[in-house]
Amino acid sequence: MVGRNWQPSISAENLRKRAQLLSATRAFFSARDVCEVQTPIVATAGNPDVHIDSIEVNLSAGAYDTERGYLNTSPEFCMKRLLAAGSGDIYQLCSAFRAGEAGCWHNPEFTILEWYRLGFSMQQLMDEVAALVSQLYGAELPLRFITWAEAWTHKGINPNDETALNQSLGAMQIDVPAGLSLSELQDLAFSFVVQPDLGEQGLCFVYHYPAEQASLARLSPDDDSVAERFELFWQGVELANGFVELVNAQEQRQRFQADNQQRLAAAKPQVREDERFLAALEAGLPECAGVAVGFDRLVALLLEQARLEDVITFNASRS
Amino acid sequence: MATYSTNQFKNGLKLLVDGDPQSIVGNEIVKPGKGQAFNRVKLRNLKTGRVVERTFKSGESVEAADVHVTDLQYLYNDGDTWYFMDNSTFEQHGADSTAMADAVMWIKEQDECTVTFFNGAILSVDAPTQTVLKVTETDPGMKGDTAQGGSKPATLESGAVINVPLFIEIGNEIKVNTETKEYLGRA
Repeated sequence: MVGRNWQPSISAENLRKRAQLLSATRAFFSARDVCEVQTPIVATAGNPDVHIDSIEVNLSAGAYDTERGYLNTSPEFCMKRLLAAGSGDIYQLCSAFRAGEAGCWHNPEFTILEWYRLGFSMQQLMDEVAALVSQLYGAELPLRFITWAEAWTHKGINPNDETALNQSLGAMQIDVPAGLSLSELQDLAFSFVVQPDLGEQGLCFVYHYPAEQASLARLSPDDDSVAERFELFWQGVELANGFVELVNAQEQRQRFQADNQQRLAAAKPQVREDERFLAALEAGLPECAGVAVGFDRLVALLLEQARLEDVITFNASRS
Repeated sequence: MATYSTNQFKNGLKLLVDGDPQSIVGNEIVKPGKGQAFNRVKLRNLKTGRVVERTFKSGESVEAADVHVTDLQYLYNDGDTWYFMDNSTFEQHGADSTAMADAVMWIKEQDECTVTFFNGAILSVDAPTQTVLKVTETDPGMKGDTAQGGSKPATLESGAVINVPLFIEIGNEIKVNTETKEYLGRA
């Protein structure tokens, strides 16, 4: 049933503060000569990542190539097509959509801040993310950089030892659903055991995720068991995910196919691979690094709010 | 067998977990950046009232509990069983003392009670939140007592004992809140 509650979930005060943070973010990129872009919210191809579910839309009345499309889960593919076409450094602030994600720190529609820097290393991009957050915060936040493996070691857990993972969850009174794979067990333990302590004193970057969790990152040239992927945590909240981008079209296609295999195994619908994106990679994506920041979460932490709905105008249950 | 997917989870949904009917009273998505999401769900066991937290892998299906809630009129009890009637179908249903629990102390004949069924049998009965009951036993009120001073225990016709102001006497009808077990006023 659709209610008649018309009131926004954000306060008038937070509405103004959010606007200030939006313009401060734009000023940050403008000063660094990174160009703001806008790419379509509706896509004819989706993201096959097994852990991300798209919201489908009916495009039959539009001038699109397909009848069924998707709301973007991120603007990544179109932004990379711009990069391949020679756009240079770009950023975007836009809505992204992920089906079924709702809670204190999730809303199915959320604002993403995504940017790409040509020739940046992972460290350069992490430093730039830190510079942005500190600038918005108004003071230099302490920084910490640890590898994914170290994040576990600091907790005294071997992430490849199922017994140790189960014990760490048991100690936190977290029950473990039956039949989890090792990687799912790692996801659960990371969320409940490792993550809550990350970024307690400032910004904590976790980098060198295992190759199986590379997503769209390239593997490290020095060690192909890890990917040049990082995440940022602040006060135990995941804020950003960044890659040194995979530019190899063939490898990208294989990862998409592997993703769809996983979707098949998980009885999830197949997602059309984005041929235009793959064609752009074949034409040549320049070496670059890119990152996506959950902008609503960043605003919530900056404004010391404990729920996303306090910093977005109308959350899903009011939209 | 009806099931619910985790993305249908919301407060009030009734699931069958560990063989017991349980109602969702809290649901939070936990998801690492690029990994498997989980639902961390607070469940209230409708048999025991206990609240526990459970983890579900997002996207999984969970069996629904065959639970429905309806208002029935209390008729009488024969010592073992309390009988209720559905005023639209005139169908009668019996509840045992486990299902009745605290409600026995608060109900009188003709009261409309909220009755929860599980697999076709009465699982629990809630007395009306506000009801009017006669005082059957209490110490005599002392002379000169007024509304502002003190209280004393009083036994009500249904069997419950609550604190009432000193001026209340045997035979008075009073309004009570059955959840907070508080005196609300003279009826």
